Amino acid sequence: MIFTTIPFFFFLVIVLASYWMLPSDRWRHPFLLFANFFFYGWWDWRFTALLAAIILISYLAGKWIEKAEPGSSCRKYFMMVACTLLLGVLGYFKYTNFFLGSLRGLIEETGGRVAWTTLKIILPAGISFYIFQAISYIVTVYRGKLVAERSIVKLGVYLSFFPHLVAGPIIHAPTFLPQLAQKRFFDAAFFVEGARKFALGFLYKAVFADHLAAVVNPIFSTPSTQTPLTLFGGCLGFYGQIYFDFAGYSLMAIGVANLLGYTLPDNFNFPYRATSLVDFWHRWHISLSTWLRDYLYIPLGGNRCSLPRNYVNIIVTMLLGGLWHGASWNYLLWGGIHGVALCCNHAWKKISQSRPILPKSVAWLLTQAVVFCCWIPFRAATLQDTLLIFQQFGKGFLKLGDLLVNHMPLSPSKMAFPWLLVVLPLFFDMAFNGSQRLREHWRFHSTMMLYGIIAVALLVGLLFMPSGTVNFIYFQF
Amino acid sequence: MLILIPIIAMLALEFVVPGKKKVCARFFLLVLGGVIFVFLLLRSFLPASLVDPEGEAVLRVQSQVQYLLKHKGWQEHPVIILVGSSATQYGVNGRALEQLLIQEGLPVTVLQFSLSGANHFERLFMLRLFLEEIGAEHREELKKAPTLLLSEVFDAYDESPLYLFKKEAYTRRAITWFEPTQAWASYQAWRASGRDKEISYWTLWEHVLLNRFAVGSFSSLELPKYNKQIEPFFPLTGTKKTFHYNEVEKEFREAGPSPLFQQLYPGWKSYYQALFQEMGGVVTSLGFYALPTLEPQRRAYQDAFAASLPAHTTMLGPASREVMNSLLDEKNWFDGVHPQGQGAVLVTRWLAQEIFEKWSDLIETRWEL
Repeated sequence: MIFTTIPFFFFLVIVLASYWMLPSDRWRHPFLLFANFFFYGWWDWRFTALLAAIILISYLAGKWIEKAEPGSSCRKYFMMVACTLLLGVLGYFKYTNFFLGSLRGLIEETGGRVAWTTLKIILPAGISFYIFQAISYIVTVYRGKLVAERSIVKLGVYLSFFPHLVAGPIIHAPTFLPQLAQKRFFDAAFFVEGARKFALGFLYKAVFADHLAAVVNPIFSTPSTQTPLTLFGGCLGFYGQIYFDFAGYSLMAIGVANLLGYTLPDNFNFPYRATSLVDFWHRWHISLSTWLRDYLYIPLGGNRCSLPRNYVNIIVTMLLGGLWHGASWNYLLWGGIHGVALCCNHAWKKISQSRPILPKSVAWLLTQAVVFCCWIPFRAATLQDTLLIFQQFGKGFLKLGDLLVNHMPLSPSKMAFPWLLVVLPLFFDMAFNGSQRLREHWRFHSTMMLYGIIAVALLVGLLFMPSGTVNFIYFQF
Repeated sequence: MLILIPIIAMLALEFVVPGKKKVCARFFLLVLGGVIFVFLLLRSFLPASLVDPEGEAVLRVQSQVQYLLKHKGWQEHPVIILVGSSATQYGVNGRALEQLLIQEGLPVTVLQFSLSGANHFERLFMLRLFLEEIGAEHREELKKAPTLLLSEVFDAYDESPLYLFKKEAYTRRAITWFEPTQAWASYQAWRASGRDKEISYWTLWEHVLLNRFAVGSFSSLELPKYNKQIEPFFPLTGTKKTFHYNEVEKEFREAGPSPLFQQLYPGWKSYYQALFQEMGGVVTSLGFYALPTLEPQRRAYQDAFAASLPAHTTMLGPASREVMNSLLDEKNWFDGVHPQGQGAVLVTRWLAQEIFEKWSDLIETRWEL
């Protein structure tokens, strides 16, 4: 069920009405669990069994870990077995074909022959998200920072909470489980805030991201036939699309959670305002970067080790972060470039001793240029396409030199790309919405007006959204 | 620059915050419901030509309304309304048909409502829109003119009343014609056709909602151009890549007498009833026409339709064997159903001849259910 469709609208209205009409949390939790499974089953009911199995594994693992003596090898053993099992499930669905295909390619490259082919495996929606949450729960219980959940219903609600089930944000167990233990009261201000976030996310996704998708998809599907300028436009379009798509979805998810009385942490904080890559990762997909930091980077040794080892940890974390998005060399490349660039950023910080040497605008430009380049392998269909796009950029750059030397005017047909469609929403969002100073200075206080604006924004979204349904990019992960 | 509207909405959502007045969820829901109600109310008064001014059906209707109203003294002669799908859009030149009939001594005005892939209910939508657009006064004049409605017979649309809907679903075109009044009639026809497994009930009702909320009306992000027009006749040139004329001609020549359909596809009956309800008050006579086709199965259906013609209606065609033989030339066909180049000229002439020959039947038979 996609948030921008009519079935979801009906589902949400029914769930909200029923949820708040139920007398207490005793009834609300099982109802919410049912709603979560219904939501997930709408896509493919067969995978609800997988979701149930993940909940059961996490529940039993949590209980057994807690029962074992703190610091005992048994406790560690339970944690390791549960995490291996969960990663095994993720690996089977997500990486089997990638490794089989790559191995096959390697063997055939060396002159050997293999009889196997890739398997027909359907990737369950959002599997990476709920498995990472399950790991978060198990590891937190193992570390003793959280008491194992007694109620399988509550744990089920946490792992399958429909607003963020299929595309995040990844919620850490200590953030959400305590909320389930608290008595829930209807808070009107919180409810309206949820509606506001939902409306904002709806505009991001249904209007800005989907319009950009219509421009970007054809360019990336036939990169070899595009001019360097169009390819640049397509990449810029994707730079905007992925932000509006994912930030929009996250806002809608947070908004729906608010409508149900729950708090989810922010997942985006105007990442295209970042002036360094470290800053970017504090603003982009915050829930994933926090997860990777807490459950991968720190266990690897983090920065409490030698400098070379620290850099290795960063690169390994980013490579695995890339692989989390999908089994492809492109995602590995994306993670790898980010990893190396983050190391450079840390090294630069050390050299400059954290004093800004570069003007802010130059730092911003450099950061965004790296982010922009990294989105190319992220979006391109194959590694060959990625290389082709970079090659075309190179050619375009040489032509640009020609253009400047010979003063050739740009033909209007080459400028036909809808640049404003990309630039205007990004500019207004980053420059105005993203500026704390402007928001405080221009803030307008009116409860009534806010009600009206939410309602009108939803209608504007409907009128301006392209007909047809465009999936969220992060559904595939 | 319409993109600025959602941008303003986006900024407003960030910059407007609750004031001194305490937030009240009930009041918020009331405002939300009120805004939606007012929107739906306004929407119900807006004709499709304002909501989707650049819709394919709308553009065709606009051109015909303009044509009729520019035609001085049209009230003094009969008006012929042709309504059909791609076979008519590519095969019949309404303007040429009108001239041919005038030359034969029949002063008429021909209006053509043809759209490729338009099923019965999209055609009904075009007709309804036409009646809305010309206004009450001209509707009365149409009645007096008199007005003859000629509806194309094409088996695929009778067999599946929502033909091509699955492919077109969620497009602006499908959303535009799926008005609530259409929904019920198409729902009944679709159930009666026995092909209700192909599309879910939910999809149909979803389209009504999409239509009422005018979803995607500004999705082009450009200011709509009102009163833009599109001519309903599109001459085709060349031959379809997948069409092998020689094989089709051989099959056509070898086909014996048409295998008779035991009964017509039930889908057309609900269309016929809906057509009468919509147009019965304005149209005095109803006729059907079956355009020449090289496909034996389609021809067989045309024969069956002609054999079980509804009472108080007249049938034009199917074309005789001699007519078909005169059309047997690769240059005349784009594929087995759609003529191209000279083919469309010949088909138009044939239809003019049919109308002329059966004129007295057409004009004297009063349409009744």
